[in-house]
Amino acid sequence: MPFAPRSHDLREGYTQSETRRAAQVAAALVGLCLVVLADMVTGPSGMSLPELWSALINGPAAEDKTAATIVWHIRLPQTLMGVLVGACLGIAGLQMQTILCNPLASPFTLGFSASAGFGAAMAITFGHLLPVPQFFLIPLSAFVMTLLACAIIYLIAAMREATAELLVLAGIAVLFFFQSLQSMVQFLSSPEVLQQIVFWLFGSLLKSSWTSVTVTAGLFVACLPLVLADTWKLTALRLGDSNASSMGLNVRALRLRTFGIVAILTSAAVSFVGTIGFVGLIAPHVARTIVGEDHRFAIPLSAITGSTILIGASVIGKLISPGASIPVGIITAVAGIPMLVAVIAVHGKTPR
Amino acid sequence: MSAGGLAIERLSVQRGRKIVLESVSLALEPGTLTALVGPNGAGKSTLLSATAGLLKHEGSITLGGLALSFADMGYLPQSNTITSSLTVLETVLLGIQDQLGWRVPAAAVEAAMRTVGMFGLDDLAHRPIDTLSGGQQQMALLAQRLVKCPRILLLDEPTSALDLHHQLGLFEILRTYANEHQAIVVAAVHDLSLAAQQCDYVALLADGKLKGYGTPQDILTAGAIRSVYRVEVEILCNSKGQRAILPLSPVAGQAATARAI
Repeated sequence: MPFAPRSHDLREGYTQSETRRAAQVAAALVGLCLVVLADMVTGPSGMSLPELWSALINGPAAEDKTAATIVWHIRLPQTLMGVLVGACLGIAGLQMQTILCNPLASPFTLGFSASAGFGAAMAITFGHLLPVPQFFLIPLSAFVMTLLACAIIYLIAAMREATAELLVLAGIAVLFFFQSLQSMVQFLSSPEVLQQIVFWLFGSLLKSSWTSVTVTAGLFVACLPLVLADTWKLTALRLGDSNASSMGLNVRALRLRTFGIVAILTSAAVSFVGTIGFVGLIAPHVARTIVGEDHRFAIPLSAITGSTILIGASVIGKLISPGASIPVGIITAVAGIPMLVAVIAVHGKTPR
Repeated sequence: MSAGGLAIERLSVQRGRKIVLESVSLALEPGTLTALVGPNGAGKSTLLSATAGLLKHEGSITLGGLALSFADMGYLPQSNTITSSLTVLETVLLGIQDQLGWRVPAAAVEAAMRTVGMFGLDDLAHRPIDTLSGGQQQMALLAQRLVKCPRILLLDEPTSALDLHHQLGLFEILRTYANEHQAIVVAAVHDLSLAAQQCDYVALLADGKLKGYGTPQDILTAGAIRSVYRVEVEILCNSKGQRAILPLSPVAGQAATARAI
């Protein structure tokens, strides 16, 4: 259109790019659904799509007890848990990289995995002294310890200007502190308990139940509006602290608030299933490479990508060793790296 | 002073024990472009960020007799490296983020486009900002400040990364903006000739104190520059009355003592 005003073309360009990015998020959602289906039909006892479908529509109290049990009590909670944990870690990773202005940051950069691990190790080792069942005490203890770590970092950061550097410094200190405590608990515990602790640390969806799905979903849904309310502010923070604050943004409050949300999302993710690395690091990179840094698109896509990587890892884990599926925590990196390479190759530029 | 002016009264800023700005009073009229000049460490940046309300300070700052709100303000700090891959248009849109929701209104995109066009950045509108040169980034960030049409525009060394052509272009934009919107524009600059030629007024700052405020002819005299910058200069004037400041040599000897006092 040679005669159209220039700004019209450019506005069209912006509208088109918005539509394109919305379509990319939708496509990713379809992709996630496919992976979820794949995860539901893989498992030691095998199951075809029609069988899965009938088990799903017949409900948990169907006549075919075996199929109902497998689908409703084993696979569905595990898959849903995987979706939720992946989404939590994807969002938490994106927020962490934004508030720390650091592409290497992940939900675990500030010691949240170490503190959760310590909490779980404490509960596994000393849990029998309390009149509370283990399946309840372990996630609770992990959750509380993560929030405690968050509170320590928060207090340190709140004393000063809460810059990214200060948060990282405080976080690394907390990381080593809880790691040492965790090592000490491991050192003091018996071989059987030690084995339990190590298995918890692996991060596996096998620990999922409807209770864990409900709690994690509850926390995720509670955090979501808080995350989405700051969409534009977080996008503005990508341009750096001084630029954001000169636009009238209260960078300190935004950073501390987001940090708190990341802590809740991360502890919701790790408390039940253990630490699952890599997802929270790589999902944001994939999301930003595809839709850019506009957080309206980057937040949902990072969540979807996180879920897809985690469920993909679960499928691969089940396929490699059908008997005892390999913990997803071990597979995520294996599944995630090809994905990252693919994205970099397709887009031909380094993600940030 | 006329209605709508910016009045800075007895503005002081202290950092630790050091007084970086001491009782600066300044009245700026709408529709004017003021150059803020002074040697390194004179307090130019401090004055700008304190006026923007980003620093703890004493004294009062009012606009047309009323307390200043950030909505009236466009403040651009000294440039620093940008590592974001937001596009230029997205960057400028962030300047009016309070108007943006889940959907970006067409009017907002229109306003952002107009501002991008004002700076001649149309062709770069959809380019990631980190792929731009330093000068282009600086202009994109300035566009981000201008898009909301602030009544006060405070710029900290906006020309530091610009070539000659763009320096003049930038001042052209600033003058037009000040006139059309009856805005108050203050820019910290190091180039005294540029200040003398392009700005309506000059505020000279040294050691945290205001040494003078007035037209370039009145303020940028050889004597004032000699005492504040400790440099001998010659003031040149062409047939059109445009002035240039030609630095000759540093004033010998008294540099260290003058600083200590």
